[in-house]
Amino acid sequence: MRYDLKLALLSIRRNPVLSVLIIAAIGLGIGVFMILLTAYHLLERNPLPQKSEQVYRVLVDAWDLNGEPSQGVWRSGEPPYMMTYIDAMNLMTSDVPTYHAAMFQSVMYLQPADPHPSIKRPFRVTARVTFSGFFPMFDTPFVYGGGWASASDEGPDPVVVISSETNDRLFGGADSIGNSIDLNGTLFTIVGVMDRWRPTPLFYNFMTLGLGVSPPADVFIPFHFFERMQLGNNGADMGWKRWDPGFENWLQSESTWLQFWAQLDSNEQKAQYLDFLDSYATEQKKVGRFQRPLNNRVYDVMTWIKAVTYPLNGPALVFLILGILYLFVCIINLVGMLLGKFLGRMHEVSVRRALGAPRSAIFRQHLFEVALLGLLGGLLGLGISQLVLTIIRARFDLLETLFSLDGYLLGVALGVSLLAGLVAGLLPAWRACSAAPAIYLSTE
Amino acid sequence: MEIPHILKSLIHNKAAFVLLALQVAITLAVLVNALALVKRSREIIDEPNGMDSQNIIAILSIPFDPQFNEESYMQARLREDLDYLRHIPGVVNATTLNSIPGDIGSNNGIYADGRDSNTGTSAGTFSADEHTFDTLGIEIVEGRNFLPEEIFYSSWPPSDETLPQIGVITSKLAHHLFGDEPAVGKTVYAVGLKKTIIGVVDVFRGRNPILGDSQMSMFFPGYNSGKRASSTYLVRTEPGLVDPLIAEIEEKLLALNEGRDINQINPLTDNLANATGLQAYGGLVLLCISGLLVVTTALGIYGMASFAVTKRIKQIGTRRALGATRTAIVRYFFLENLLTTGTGIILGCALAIPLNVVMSDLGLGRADLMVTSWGIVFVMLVGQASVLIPAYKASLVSPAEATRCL
Amino acid sequence: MLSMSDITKIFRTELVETHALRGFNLEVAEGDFVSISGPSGSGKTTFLNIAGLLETFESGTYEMDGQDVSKLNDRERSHLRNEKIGFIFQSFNLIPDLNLFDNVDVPLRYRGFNGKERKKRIDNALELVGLSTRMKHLPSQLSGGQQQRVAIARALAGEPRFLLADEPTGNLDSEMAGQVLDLITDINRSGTTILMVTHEHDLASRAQRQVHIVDGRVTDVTTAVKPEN
Repeated sequence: MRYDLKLALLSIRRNPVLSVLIIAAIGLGIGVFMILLTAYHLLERNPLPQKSEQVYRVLVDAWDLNGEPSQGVWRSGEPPYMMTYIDAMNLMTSDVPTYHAAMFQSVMYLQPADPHPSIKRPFRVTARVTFSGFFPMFDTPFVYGGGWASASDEGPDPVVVISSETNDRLFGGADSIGNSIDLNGTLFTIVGVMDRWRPTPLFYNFMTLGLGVSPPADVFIPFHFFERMQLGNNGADMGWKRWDPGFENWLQSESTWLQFWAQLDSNEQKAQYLDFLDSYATEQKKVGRFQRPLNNRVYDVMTWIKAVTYPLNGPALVFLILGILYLFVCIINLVGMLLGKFLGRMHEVSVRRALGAPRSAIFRQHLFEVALLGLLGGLLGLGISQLVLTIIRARFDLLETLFSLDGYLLGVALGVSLLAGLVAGLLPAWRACSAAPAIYLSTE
Repeated sequence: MEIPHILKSLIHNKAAFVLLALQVAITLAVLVNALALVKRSREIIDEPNGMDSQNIIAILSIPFDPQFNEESYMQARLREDLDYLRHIPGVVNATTLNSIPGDIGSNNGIYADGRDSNTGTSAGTFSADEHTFDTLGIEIVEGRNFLPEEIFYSSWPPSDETLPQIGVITSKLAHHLFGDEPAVGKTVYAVGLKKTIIGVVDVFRGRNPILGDSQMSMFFPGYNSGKRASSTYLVRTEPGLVDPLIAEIEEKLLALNEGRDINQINPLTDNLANATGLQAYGGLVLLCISGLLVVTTALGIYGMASFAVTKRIKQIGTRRALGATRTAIVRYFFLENLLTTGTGIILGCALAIPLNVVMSDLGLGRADLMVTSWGIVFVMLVGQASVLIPAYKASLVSPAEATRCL
Repeated sequence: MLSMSDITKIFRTELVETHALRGFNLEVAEGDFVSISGPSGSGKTTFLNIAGLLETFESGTYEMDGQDVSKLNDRERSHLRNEKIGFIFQSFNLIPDLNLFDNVDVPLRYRGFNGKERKKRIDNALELVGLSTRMKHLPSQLSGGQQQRVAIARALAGEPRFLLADEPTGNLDSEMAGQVLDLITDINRSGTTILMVTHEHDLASRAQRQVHIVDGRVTDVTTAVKPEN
């Protein structure tokens, strides 16, 4: 084994240009493959690994009898992916789920309550308007304080949870619990400062065609402020039935625009909740709503992500196939180069064979060399993909955890490069060891 | 010339031949598809959008002052802003819409009245006033513009039954709904109300292509002024004044009213470019991969050819001794490469078709004869260029190699 | 038909200069069978290369059919080789990927004959060496003697004015060597001039004229009495 290593290193040194070309070929192949695999892997990320199977997106079908909510890319036969205000408020009365929360995103303007050294004008923040269940349901981490109590869901206290980034910006990262901030002219008291939290993809609210890489929100406020402050919805709003102008009419309309999530810990709880949804829908049928056949669903986090991102699967798969094709081309090239490299020293092999080296030793020696080249190429490939991913992250201002190689991808990279080297080296190594010793000896 | 000989020789060296041909095939297949994708995204970007987009500034103003909850206050500020914008020296016209063209704005189903419901389609929907078409620089080809007395303050979508039930549609939408019949005077169902078409405008690619055909849009009269609605302004300037005016306008608007934020102020071309960003990036990624493929394949061809020259020194010497000129030797290698690349190209075309079917199913662009031909010519040239050096080296082999006793 | 006078060929490396031929003189007449022999390193192969226009030389004159060939460029020399000279090599130098027919075809293609003409010539040449039944075989399927006979067919197919043979039997056993040598003698009888390089005395003695080279110079010329037919 050590002798094999010595011979391999010797061989690499003897023909440096060809060796570099070979390593570059593997490196490029692996690099490109890894970049595309990382992009593909992104779609399979679990943003809530500890409880993704207990947290469910809730969908109820109150859509038009004569139409399908197949707006944009949403699949036919599915209930609308957002919920009307009426339904969301009614579902919030259920006591079946462990936690549940309706939510939406709004744009607000934040001003420090006290004079601030650098912030003079109000700045734009994204606000998640939701219920107290949001925090325990999604296991949000806190540095200071925590989510508001369920009593605050009813009002009237103006409480707010802020992100760690917002806390850094306003208070330099200090404990700001009890301080106030001005949001659109209303003073809110800080009850919690979140720790850095970047669920990716942002499963609870991401656009069907986005990558789901936006931050969770800058501030979180209780849902009832939506009505009191008449906040606008900074997100999709889809409806099928006309309503008369006015905020109140909008609330009572069939417009769907809220996201609804619930935590259901056991199958019994889930069955019970589905029963609740169906009986709610049946109840609503009596007042003329929910005219379509019962079609209420709950999707756990990963099922939900797959349902929303399916339009991306195609392109991502195409790119992954391209990555594999490219790797394949590199391997083909490698076979050619290795044939050249090995056949170029048939004379040496003949001498070794004549000196009594068995065929298997020659074969092993060559394969070992190829495996070493493969690993070196794999390392180069990792370097290349890391570099490109860093550039992509910087270009699109993505966070570090995203588009980066984890242990799984690292293993894949090294495994694939080793395999690529060995596959490519099989034929050349066989050729090298299968030549009769005499032929090449007599020729020089 | 020597083609039958070369073919026999290639068939005799199957491994190298097949490996190279496969490589060329994959390269061509990916390259053709990348070119198709890039061509498609270029087309989307380069298609005339109908607007004088080079000379338009897009502005998004978001209010935060609680006073904006008062509709009368909000409306007064909107009037004030528009009044200011229209009187800046160098400004041709200014308008307010519910969303900036190219952004993911509003999308509604539009159905022709009295027709099969299948004639309906989804279209981009915009609010407009009598200045909108002039500001955008789009022409009314049929019917008329909105009149000042038809413009009211209303929330979005325009579902207020008390307001004028009229609209202007793009010619593409008119054609979709009514075929060759004149659209003006016809009625459509939109946002749950019956609306009469009063005008048809020429090309206007204001709808985000993700939502569907970018040329399908409908305009409703009105100022979008729901409670605390953000306001979108478009300002058309004299040619070349977009950049100098942006800073001035931002500062002035903020001074005019401190209770709002100018969240966005940029050339309209930015919004339109973002709308096609997804395709452009896809094309770029694919082009990078095909670039790498081409380089790798060229290196592969070069490597294999160099190896072949080294291996065949004796044979080349013999050919020279038997009367082959240097040109004949160079020609031999070029022809050999042409045959290998040609085989790869045929395989590649066969491989490109299923790949392209998948891609065009995903709306990523269809390869046409033009793109395919360019791809083939390019791969041919790359192949020939890659054997240049090995072929030249082969031509330098002395005919005396034939008599050398190894 | 072939006249070399005062030919000098020097091989230079950074360290040494080797005079492969020094003041080499030789006249060969039409229809001659000349053997060139000499010890290893005497300049036999260099002579053959120069005679066959495979290599250039430093000084001296070389005339073929009265034409000074020392001033010709690569292309002209290639054409001259193709038209006037046939080569037989020690290691046969058949192209392994091509069958016998195609191997004989190689020089004919460079000559620019049409397909019909080439086929006629290939058939005749293979017939002459007794291998016309095996023209679809690959060289590797033949014995050494057969391979050399193919090489002779290849050399003859272009109807050259003279044949250059470089140790034509060097890689053959004695029985096969005999056959090949008989073939070469027959070719000479039919009027083709032959120059044969060999270090074997037996072989050299088959020629009418035996030229002996030592250190790049002709040292000895023996002319045999032409056998009576």
